[in-house]
Amino acid sequence: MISRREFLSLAAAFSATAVMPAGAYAANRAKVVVIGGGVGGATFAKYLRRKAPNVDVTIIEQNPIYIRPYGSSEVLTGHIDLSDLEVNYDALRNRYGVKIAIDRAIGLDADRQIVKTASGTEYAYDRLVVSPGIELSYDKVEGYSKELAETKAPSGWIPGSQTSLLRDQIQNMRQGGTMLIVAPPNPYRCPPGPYERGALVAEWMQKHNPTGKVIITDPKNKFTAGNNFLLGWNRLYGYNIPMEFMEGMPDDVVEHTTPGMIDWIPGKDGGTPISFDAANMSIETEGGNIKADVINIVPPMKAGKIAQQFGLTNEQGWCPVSRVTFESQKIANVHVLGDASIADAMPKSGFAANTQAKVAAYAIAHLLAGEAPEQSPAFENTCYALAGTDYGFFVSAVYELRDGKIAKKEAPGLQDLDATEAQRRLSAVYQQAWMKSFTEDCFA
Amino acid sequence: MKKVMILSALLLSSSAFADERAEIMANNCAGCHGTDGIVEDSSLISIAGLKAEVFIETMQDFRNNERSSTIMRNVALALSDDEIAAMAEYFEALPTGEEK
Repeated sequence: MISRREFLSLAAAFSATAVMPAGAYAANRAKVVVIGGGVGGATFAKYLRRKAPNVDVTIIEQNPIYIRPYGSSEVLTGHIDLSDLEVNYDALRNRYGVKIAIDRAIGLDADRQIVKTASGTEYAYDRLVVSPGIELSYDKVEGYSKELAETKAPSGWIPGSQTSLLRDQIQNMRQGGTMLIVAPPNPYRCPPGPYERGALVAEWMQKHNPTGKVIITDPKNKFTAGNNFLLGWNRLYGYNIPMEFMEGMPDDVVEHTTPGMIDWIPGKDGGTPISFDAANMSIETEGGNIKADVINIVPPMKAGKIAQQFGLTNEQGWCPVSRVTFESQKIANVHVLGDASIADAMPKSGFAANTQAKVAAYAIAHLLAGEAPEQSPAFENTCYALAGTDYGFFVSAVYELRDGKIAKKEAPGLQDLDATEAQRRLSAVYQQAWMKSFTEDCFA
Repeated sequence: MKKVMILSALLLSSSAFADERAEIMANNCAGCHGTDGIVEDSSLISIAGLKAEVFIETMQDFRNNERSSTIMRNVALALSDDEIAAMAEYFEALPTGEEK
């Protein structure tokens, strides 16, 4: 049953659809333009073409090859090469008939429903989908800049040349040197990412730089799958778990008497970063100055630049959307997916963007056909994370709409702390398998 | 007149929605189990064409910890019996890799 209010809002959506000039561009062929060919944009285009083969779908993307961010910390330890992250658009083009325009969107005429690009082309749309990912706010860390990130203290959070630079810095670091990771404040892309990165580098150091050290300084007092990470670090890298995290920890937790290879400084212990001193290679934190040989700053984030330019963001820099259709609450007929959108309880992860994209694709297929979309969609997130090559765990959740917001359905969301070695190994196997299966679901 | 058309469109499409919700939920499995339930990697399992009763029993075993898993116990606990049944029916109807 739908309430009268829902019916009225649906009716409004219907009449809007009815007057839409879909036929003005080409007879009965609705046009959907997607800005951004990452996880959200690619999955959306694929699933919309599967659901509504008559709809004309064009992705506007700057880069002919996508470099996937998930799993990119594995480049730092040489487990994979940067080129292993590359994904092409052949299947989207050839199997699903998605048009790929290698171009850059630069302007939006929301009244005429036209996107303008750097090449001077105008793309008319019935529905526009913006899936721009994140922009790193380098300037939010005093003394830091994009230029310094590309030459001295890489963030490596959007994979590319900064990832290669960070890998080279780690691998060429002096014996006994320190890598400092500056973790970002919430919300940010890939919540377990900074901690997995620290663990993978510590594991690499055990073989190649056994007196080296990883320090993670953090404005937060807790983080996703935190207990699983702290336990894994205790077992693998000599980390001592703080008292307040000891509840529920299994019996084999050891109090190490020598310093471990990894350390985490939460905000309450002074971990909040204040500024970066490039000349001295140090970070000033609330708790004092930390000098390091390699400094990896993961700065605060906001929605990708194009979303800001188009006026789709709120004051915090993220995009408010309908949780049913992902239509922007700022501009009609424009939808925002993935990391850039405000999706309540869902994390900013690839898996989240992938399931949001499918819901949006189905909703838009209905809207273009003059029908109402499914009013109670479901979403999911699964993130496998590693504390070591053979030591995996996960966060997972199913989501539904509750009072107009995306809420987690009741269930445990984490791997049990007393998971067996076999289970941890299995999570690590699935982590690797998922890199392939997930990429295929998005792009192939 | 327009309102009447809108109303009838809503009534007509509402019966199709129940099926579509199962499809939307099933799509959420595809990140690991593949688009349309078919995945190439041998450590993950294709679930297209799986008998509905096997699907349901497996999910119940995950819930009751009678079958070892990583995320699947949590997923099975989050889903309702009705949702599991609808997804079981949906996956059973999908062609397996061999049939494709």
